[in-house]
Amino acid sequence: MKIYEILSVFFCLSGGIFFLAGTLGLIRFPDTYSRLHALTKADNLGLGFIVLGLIFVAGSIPESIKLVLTWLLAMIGSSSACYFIGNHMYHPPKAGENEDGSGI
Amino acid sequence: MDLVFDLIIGLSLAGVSWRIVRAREHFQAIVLFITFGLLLSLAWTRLKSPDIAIAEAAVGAGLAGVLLMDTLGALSSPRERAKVVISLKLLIPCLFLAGLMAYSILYIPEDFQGLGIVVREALPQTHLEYPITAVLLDFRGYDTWLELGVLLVAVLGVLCIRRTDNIKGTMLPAPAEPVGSWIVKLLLPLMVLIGGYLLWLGAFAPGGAFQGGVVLASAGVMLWQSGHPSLGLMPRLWWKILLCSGFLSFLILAFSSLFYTDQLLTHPATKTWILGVEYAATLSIALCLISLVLGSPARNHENKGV
Repeated sequence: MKIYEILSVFFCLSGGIFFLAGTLGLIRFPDTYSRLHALTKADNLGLGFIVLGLIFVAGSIPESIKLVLTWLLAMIGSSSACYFIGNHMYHPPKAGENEDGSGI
Repeated sequence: MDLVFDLIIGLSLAGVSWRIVRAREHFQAIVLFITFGLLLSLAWTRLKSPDIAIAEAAVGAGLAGVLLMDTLGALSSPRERAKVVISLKLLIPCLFLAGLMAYSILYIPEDFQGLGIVVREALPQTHLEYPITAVLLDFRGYDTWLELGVLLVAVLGVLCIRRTDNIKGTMLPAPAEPVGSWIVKLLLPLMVLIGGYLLWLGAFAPGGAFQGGVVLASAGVMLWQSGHPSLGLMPRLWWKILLCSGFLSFLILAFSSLFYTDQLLTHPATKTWILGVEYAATLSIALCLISLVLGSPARNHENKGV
């Protein structure tokens, strides 16, 4: 096993632990805000570590760039989704306003 | 190790579909359905079919989820408990059919190559490099043509239910928050770029009209959700033309091929034709899917016309 592969396995496993912890938090935490906290940690750090691990075994530079871009996009997506859910909880829409439950 | 992974995916698929049927609330069932779509796209990836995996993740998990959530919003009593009745009369034929399917797997020869060899041999005639695109747009052009027709008919059906020919009259008011408009500004160019990239990839790698169209459609849905006015600025005539463009381009192709041969949809200078059809189909798929979301009956009471 080469050093790259060992590093890759290490980082992917670390990412997996973050996802596991995030899922546990999602299930066990009492309210929406702390659940959001757990979920975004899993998205940001878990996916970040997995992407980092995959970069070590990526075949080419463009492939690594695409992986990093995927992570950045997922971060943008998860943090703004977190904002929308949190905002929805903090300022619940009044009756008659646009409340379709479809989220963003 | 691979077997363990495949078994986990297969068992989770069966488990999630059971949970969907038994779900207490519609909302739970929809979320599980989205999960099911994502798991299914993993299964397609394991089967080495990235094209179907992308399409399944985008349509099955993404846009279908949006449509279902929209439908849930339109239902008068969304909290209503779904009744699950398992009838023995139906269960027995279903199990029989499933057994027959499982049994038929035993009859597939081990060295079965499918139609891969035939497609690979005929590929040079199409001037395309990627077999899936060649199958979709050339060898099985009829299927794709009719699929575009189905999409168009679905949009027409929505218009019939809405009793309007104006699909755009459903714009939401722009939200007051800054993050919404910020994320639209950030994501919209990226989504258009990725949609075009997937379309371009289709000539030689996994991707193509359906995948690119769905990404464009989700960009449109995002514009609609955020209350961005740009969708409403498109003239209605263009909206209608683009809705039909995919089906129409196949129709033109079929008609014009009659000048060369006696058969429909056979054409010389294949690559130009295929590219033209594929680009038209992408726009058409994107607009059809946007119209389906925009035209959902949930917005009936908000219809003010443009």
